[in-house]
Amino acid sequence: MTTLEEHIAAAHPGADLGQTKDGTVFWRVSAGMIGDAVTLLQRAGVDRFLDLTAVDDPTRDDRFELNYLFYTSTGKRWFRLKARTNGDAPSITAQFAGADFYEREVFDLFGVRFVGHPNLTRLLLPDDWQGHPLRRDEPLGGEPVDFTVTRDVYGT
Amino acid sequence: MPAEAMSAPSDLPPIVRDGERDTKDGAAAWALSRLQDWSREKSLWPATFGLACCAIEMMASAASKYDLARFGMELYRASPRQADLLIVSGRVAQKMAPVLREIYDQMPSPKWVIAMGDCAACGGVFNNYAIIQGVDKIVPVDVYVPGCPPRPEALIDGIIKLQQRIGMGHRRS
Repeated sequence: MTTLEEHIAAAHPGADLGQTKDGTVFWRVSAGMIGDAVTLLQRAGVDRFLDLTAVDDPTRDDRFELNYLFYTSTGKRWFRLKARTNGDAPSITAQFAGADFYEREVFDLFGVRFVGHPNLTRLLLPDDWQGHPLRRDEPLGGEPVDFTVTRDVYGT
Repeated sequence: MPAEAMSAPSDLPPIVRDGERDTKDGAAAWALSRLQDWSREKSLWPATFGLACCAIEMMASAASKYDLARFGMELYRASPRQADLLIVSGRVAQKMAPVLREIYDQMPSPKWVIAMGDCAACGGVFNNYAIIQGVDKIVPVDVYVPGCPPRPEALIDGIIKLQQRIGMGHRRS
């Protein structure tokens, strides 16, 4: 039986594969390739979408790193897909319907626009909210409290 | 009720009184309004409105070990239209704020609000974009119960303090 890695290596020689600290294999792709990569994973037996998160690093040009987590129920193994983007990414809702709300959440909190999503509106915050609060350059909000430890945060 | 309990302490907000409660309307009207206060005090009906972890303590207060029913306030109503006490038990998210205000507006007057726990009082540890920094920004609060979360004894104490005020005619709406 061919493993996931062999499937990927056959289709994309020189694919950027790696391993996270917990031992999960990940595949780093460019943002434009997400759709193709997910199609390939589905053909290779990945049948469950589990999670989509993002990490923001404003010092990079492509500041958002999308982190997809998949599961293969026949092979009983996890798989991660990583892609960096500057604000646009293709939606995978057509391939995995479960990605619908996750993409809306990442759009809501990070402002990543998922092109091709059927209903890309805010999920958690009110519809008239301004900004995307999990971006690192967003203000923290709340009320300034003058403790020694909070002076750096609020500049008080 | 002893006489000294009839006069409100000076640190309370101004007491809204019905016109009929004025002693110039006569002793009968006065006695009737005392009876009204007493009946309101002795049967508070809180709205079932659990927001966060404080709601667990609120449920424990109503359950058999602490038993709010001893003080005549066990009847949690599922509809705000039948309730006269709103226990804000937990942190209020910005998205929840209009819901909470609507529930408060749906409650018939007279009505009272208890801010249970630090989050409802001032935002608690959640000093960020998502949480209302104190529920008194959207509804008037009569009693604050500190704690994270407050024990059932603390909540019961807060409700009893509110009852004492209600018995003295204190109401804000």
